Amino acid sequence: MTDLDVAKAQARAPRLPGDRPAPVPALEVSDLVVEFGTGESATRVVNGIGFSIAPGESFALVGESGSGKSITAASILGLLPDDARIASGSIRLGGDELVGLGSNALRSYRGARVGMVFQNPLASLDPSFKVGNQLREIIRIHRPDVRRARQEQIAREWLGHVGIADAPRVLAAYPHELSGGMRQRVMIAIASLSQPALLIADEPTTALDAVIQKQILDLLRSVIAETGSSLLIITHDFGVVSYVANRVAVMKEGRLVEQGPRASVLSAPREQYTRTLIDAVPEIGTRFALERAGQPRRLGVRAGTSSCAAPEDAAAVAIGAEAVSAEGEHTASAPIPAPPILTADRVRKEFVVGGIGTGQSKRSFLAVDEVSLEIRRGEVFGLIGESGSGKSTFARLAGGLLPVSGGAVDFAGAPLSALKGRSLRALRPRFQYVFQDATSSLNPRVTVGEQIVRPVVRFGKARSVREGRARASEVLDLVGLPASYFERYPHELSGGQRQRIGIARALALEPELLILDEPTSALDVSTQATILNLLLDLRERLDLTYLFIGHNLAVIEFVCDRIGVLEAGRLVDVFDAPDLFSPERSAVTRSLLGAILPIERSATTLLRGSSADMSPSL
Amino acid sequence: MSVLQRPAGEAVAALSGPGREPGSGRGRSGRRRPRSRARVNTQVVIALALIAVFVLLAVFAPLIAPYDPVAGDASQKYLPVGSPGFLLGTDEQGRDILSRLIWGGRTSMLVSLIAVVASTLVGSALALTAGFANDRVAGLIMRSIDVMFAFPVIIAALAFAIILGPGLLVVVLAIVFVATPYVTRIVFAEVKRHRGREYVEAAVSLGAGFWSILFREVLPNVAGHIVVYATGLVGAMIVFSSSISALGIGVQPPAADWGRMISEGAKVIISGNVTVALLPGLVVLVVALAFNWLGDGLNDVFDPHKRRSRS
Amino acid sequence: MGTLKHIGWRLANILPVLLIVSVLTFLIGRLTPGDPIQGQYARTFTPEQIEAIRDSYGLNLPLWQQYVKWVADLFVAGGGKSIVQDAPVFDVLWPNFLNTIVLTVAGVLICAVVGITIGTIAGANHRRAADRFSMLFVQVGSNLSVYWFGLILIWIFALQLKWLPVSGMQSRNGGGFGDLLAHLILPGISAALISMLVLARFTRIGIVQESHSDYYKTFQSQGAGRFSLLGKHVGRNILPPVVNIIGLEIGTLLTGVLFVESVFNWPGIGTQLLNAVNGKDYPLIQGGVVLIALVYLVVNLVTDIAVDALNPRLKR
Repeated sequence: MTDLDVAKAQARAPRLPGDRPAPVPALEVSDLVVEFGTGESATRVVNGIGFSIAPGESFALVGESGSGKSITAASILGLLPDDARIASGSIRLGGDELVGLGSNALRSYRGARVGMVFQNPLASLDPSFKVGNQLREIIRIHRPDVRRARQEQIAREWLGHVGIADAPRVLAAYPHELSGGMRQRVMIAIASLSQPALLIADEPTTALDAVIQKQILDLLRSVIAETGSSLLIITHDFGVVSYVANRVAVMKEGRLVEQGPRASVLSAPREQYTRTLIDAVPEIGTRFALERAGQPRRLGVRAGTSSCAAPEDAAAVAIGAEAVSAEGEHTASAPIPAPPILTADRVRKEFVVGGIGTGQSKRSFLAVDEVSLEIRRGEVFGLIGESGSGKSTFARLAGGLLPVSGGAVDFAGAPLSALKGRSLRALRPRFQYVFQDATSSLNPRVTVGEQIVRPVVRFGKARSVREGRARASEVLDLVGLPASYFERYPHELSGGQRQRIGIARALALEPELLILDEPTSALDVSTQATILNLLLDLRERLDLTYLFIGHNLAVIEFVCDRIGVLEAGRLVDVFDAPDLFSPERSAVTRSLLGAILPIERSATTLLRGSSADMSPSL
Repeated sequence: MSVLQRPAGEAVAALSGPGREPGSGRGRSGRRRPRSRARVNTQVVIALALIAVFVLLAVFAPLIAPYDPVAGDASQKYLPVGSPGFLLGTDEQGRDILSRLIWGGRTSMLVSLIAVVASTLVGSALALTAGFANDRVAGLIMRSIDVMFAFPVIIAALAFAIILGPGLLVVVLAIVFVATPYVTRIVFAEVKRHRGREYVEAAVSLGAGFWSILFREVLPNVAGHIVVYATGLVGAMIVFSSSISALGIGVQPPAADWGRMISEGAKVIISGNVTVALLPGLVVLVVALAFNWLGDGLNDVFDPHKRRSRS
Repeated sequence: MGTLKHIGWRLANILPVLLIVSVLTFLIGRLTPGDPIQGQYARTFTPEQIEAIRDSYGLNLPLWQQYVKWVADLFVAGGGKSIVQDAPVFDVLWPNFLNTIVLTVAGVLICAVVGITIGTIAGANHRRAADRFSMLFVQVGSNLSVYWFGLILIWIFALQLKWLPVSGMQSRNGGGFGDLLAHLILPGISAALISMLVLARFTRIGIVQESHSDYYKTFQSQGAGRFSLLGKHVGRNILPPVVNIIGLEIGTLLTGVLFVESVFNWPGIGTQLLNAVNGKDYPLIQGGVVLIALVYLVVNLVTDIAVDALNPRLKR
């Protein structure tokens, strides 16, 4: 059977048992093929997929980057990029065929029968017009007959529907005056105000912080419940799938790997690919479940074990918090406090913008506010916070990449923040930095080998370039890349490989401390898992200390021994990983915990995840 | 004055910030429409061939030019294009236009080339300094550049002419005066863009010193851009130098120079003889276009994403 | 920051530029070899009389005093006395300066209208034939020498077709506004050519970029028509950069005008300055430079203020 046949068979697959028989589907896609370019140079990005969404149903299309999921969403309303086109297949909206319609005919469907919410709320509204103006314009498109006063009224009502209390202020505001979450609420109002039969949300929460993400997903659920719309949600996050979808389709390289009801796809995937993806997601409690099962703390190993024991355990841990922390058995395995390798003493960092010559008035902004902490030799210290919490700034202060505005950073007894020039440089090989964006942290014009060798020779870790090359091959091997990669340029590598180079380059100097600034947040889940596993391996083999910066609590909890929580530049909480569920945790920590979207791995926990409120503060 | 404007636009283009390449959505990164390499290569080849022809003609002018460019035969004036023995006709003094074009290329191209190299070096040095200096020094340099923009070029050229007397040096200095601010702004924008990239921070973290970062990390990334810009600038400056010469403050008669030829043609155009002015202008256009195309083509050659490793 | 304060801030930023330009301009007159007074009066006056004349021009004072006096003259004495015409510099320059402004304004209008039109046609038809054709036109046009382009225009439209006058600002027998317009067309187009092509490129790029922006997709997905998308949203969002480019280009266009004047015998400040160079009339040259630099700076100032006013982020 070819993939195409599989897709066809899946498109005809029976619906959920509870469904009424054969209503006209809200959306029915079959044999859809989308190509970039034409003729021989055409590349197929969507290759014969088919699925259908029943009225009122929430359908998730999930896949990694490049799987074609966003292109599929864009093709429905004919919003493909200039050089892409639907080569064949059919898209039926409530029975009407959309493929082959001209742009004028399609326009009557846009907004009116299908609403779309896009990924980046910061750019989805026109920056030059007030929100009220934009809402009224869209109301005018759908209801050309209503007067201005009525338009205003409808706009207010819809802002109310999406949970915006002070509608007058928001209507009179420019988009840049609103927060990202607020803008995404406005977007949802725009997409649903004509009560379309189908709402398409393309990664609607990817650009948002975890707490806001959950609010927005709640809002989407309530909006479709109210308007009776179906939802097509495009995402890469199985937590989101778990939280909102009734049915799921998994996409890979333009094809559907499998589709079915959420519970069965998530808890008993039929395809190895789906299982790998799900197993690659770290979840709260996974590490302790693995520990108890006597397995090494690595992601994806569950695939080899019996598929229910560990995951159920993990889910139990995730939800029944007290079960873990109350037992207190993990304190026994906690490391004996080692001497500190990095000490921050009331560190402050103030950024000043504007001033003479810039045409702007001078303002200052406190990014890091009196943070004191200690990283002990041999531990993995996690620092978590939302965007703008100052976590990356702190990492740069700790890495000697920014001067402090106040306080002091000591590295292994040396006054790091007071050192300059040569003496600072002499200290640098002992602590190294791994950047979030591996693409931008590698010099695009220099081969990766050269980028590893240069610092090695500079610090005399190799006496000659030849010796440096030998060292480079060693570290390439250490991060799991063949020595032949020496001659490659960064753009010839994948995102995960680039991050491995970033790690190799840092390791070549034999550092004692690695500062990892969100090393996996730009990567796909499966790549993230391999990088996290690599980091855990390396730590054991090379006796390293990590300062791990992140925004994803599940990742931090999986990797780190101790965790610090930053909010608005202040360190609000520091605790041992097993104490995450302790009632002493700060409100910020608890809200982060409450925003976690666990993957429901078995039918019995179906409802608990979405309804159980893990955070008393919310 | 043709020139000014073209780089001006690009300067602002560069200043308006890196970034948003139309059509490169996040969802399909790395799947850019394959621009046909064949077309790019043809363009570069044609441009190089044209430039080579004109350079060779200029270098071997004494061997190739059929007549003396300055000596005319009054009985042979205003011969039309295609006259026997005078392929492109003659001017108002009966001088062979083809010979004058060939000899004129020597001065026009040499002057522009020297001036562009000089302004590229000066501008890049200024821009690198500004890009890596503290805010105050950078502000000082970029403010001075603003002054040069505010200072009317024609006046600067006239001032050079007054101080030095008309001649080639005036044209060279005028071009340097015009081109340096543009080069500086563009390279500065590029340096600043790269300075903010994480690989520079990574180099700091890996212990690289100031000069190492400047020359081994950033310069290789901006050098391609500089070369591309300078190449296009050569064309623009050939056009500009012809305008300066046309004002009468560059090469002095009877020596040939494309700009000079245009302005001499201007005097006879009223009597209906357009070829004397038309031909040098067309030559300037073709040569300038060739440098333009070469610049565009080099842009692709220098694109790191099209560079492949040897393995 | 309040609007007035903002404008004041912009003004304050201009002062140092003005200071340096004025010093440079002043030095032009002093660094030149040869003595203008000597050349002008040597035959008719005795050395003592020439010294007296030099004194009257302040040429025997220390350099910095000469500069202060020169700056003071700009304000109170009409820029000092023209050596050749024996009248205050600004009185001599003013009528021609106005003519130059007339030509510049014509050039700016042509530049704005034609440039934005070409750019819009190209941008709205991105990657289609109209776009390719427009861009070819822009590329070829950008490599034309303005001087030569003016000549060819004269040859085609004035000499061959005889539609428009060859040169000058008005017909010999006078003539009204229509006559002025007829005289403005060819030099206006020549002066505007390059700037308008720059503007066309920018408009095109702006439209293409905005058409790929997320908010464009938002309104597209809600069924907004192409006309409203381009006219309202794209138009409003490229307005600030387009205004900015036009402002920047006025400066370059003004310099282009000085060249065009010599092609079309336009009685502007450029022609006058060329003559002043030949006559070594430094006060006149300096006065001209100051006028042109002032125009440039005022245009920049107005542009900055306009662009700020168009930026919603700076409101309130």
